[in-house]
Amino acid sequence: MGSFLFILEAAELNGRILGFDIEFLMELGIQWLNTLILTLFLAKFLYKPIKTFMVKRAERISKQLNAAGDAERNALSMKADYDVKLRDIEQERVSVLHAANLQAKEKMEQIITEARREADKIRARMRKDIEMEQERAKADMKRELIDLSFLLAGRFTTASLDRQAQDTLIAETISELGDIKWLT
Amino acid sequence: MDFTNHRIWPLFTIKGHTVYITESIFATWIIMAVLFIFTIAARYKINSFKERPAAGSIQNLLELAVESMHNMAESNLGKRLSWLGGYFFGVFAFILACNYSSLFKLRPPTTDFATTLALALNTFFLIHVLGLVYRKGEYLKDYFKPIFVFLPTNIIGELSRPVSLSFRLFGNILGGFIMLELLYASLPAVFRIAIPDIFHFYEDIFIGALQAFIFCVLSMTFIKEKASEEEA
Repeated sequence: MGSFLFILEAAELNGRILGFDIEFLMELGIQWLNTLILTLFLAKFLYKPIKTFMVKRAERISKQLNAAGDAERNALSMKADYDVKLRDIEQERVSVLHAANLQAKEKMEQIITEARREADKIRARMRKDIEMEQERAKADMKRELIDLSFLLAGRFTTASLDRQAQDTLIAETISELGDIKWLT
Repeated sequence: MDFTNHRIWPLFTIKGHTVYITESIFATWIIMAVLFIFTIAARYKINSFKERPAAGSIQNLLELAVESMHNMAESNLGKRLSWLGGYFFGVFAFILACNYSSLFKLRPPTTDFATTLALALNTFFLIHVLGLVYRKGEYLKDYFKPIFVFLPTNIIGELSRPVSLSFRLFGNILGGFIMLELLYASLPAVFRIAIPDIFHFYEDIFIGALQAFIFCVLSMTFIKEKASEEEA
C-alpha cells in the first residue's frame, strides 16, 4: 500500500471502509469536532483578518478616489471661475482703454484749446506792444523831427536873420502860440 | 490488496466495541496541524501586508482565495448570508487539503465516511438553524407544501441532503483513491514513478478541487433555499 501510516500501526489491527456502529459514531464525533475546530479557526484567524484588511484597503482606495474626484471637480470649477474672470478682465481692459482714450482726447482738446487761447492772448498782447512801440517810435520820430527842425530852424535863422528880424519873428511866434494855447 | 481505513491506536471500549484512532483521524490531525501552522504564519504576516501585493506572492494568493470565496458566498447565499463565507472558506480549505493529502502518501480523510458526514451534518445544522432564525414560521410552512400530506416526503427530502452530500464526496474521493491504489499495484515497480502522476493530477488535483467546490456550492444552495426569503 502507498500509505506510510501503516508503519505507525501499533498492532496488527484490521481496518474497514464503512461500517455503522458505535465505533463509527465515536469516529464521527471526533471528526465532527476536528472539522468544527479547524473550519472555525480558519474562518476567524485567516479569512476574517484578510477580509478586514481588504475591506479597509478598499475603503482607503474609495476615499482616495473620492478625494481625487472632489479635487478634480474643485479644479474644474476654479478653472471655470478663472475663465470667467479672464473674460471679464478682457472686457474690463477694453473698457478701460476706451475710457482712457476718451479721457486723453478730452484732455488733448482741452490743452489745444487752452494753448490756442494762450496763443491768441500772446498774439493780442504782442500786437498791442507792437502798436505801442509804433506809437512810441512815431512820437520819438516826431520829437526828433521837431528837435531837428528846431535845430535846422535855429541854424537857418542864425545864418539869415539879423537881430531885428529875429526879435520880430520871435514876438510873432510867441503871440501866435499864445493865441493858440490860450484858446485850447 | 487493502483499501480499508486502518485502526492505529485503541482509545476506549463501549459496550464491547473498542474505539480506535484510525488512519483517517490521524491524517486529519496532520492536516489540521499543517493548516494551523500556515494560518498562524499567515496571520502574523497580515500585519506586514502591502497596499499593492506583488503578483504571485503569498499575500496575493491569500487575497485571491479570500476574495473568490467572498464572491462565491455572496452570489450563492446573497448579501444577508454572505457572512458564512468564512465558514465555507474553512470547509473548502479542509476538503482541498484532505483530497490533496494523498499526494503526500497520506490516506485522504475524505475517504472516511465519518469525515464527510461530519461536514454534511454541519451543513444540515446550518440549513435548519438559519432557516428557523431567518424565516421562522415560513420555514416550518415549507414542510407542508404543496399540501400537508407531503410532510413525510419533505422530511425525508431534508434528511437525504446530508446523506447525498456526504456520500457524493466520500464516494468520489474513495473511488479515486482505490483506482490509484489499483494502478500502483498493477504497474511494475519501474513505471510507478511517472505514469501515476497523470492519474494523481486528475484524481487528486482536479477531482479533489472539483469535489471541494461542489460540496461548498451545494451546501450554500441548500442554506439559501431554506434561509433566504428570495428562494421561498
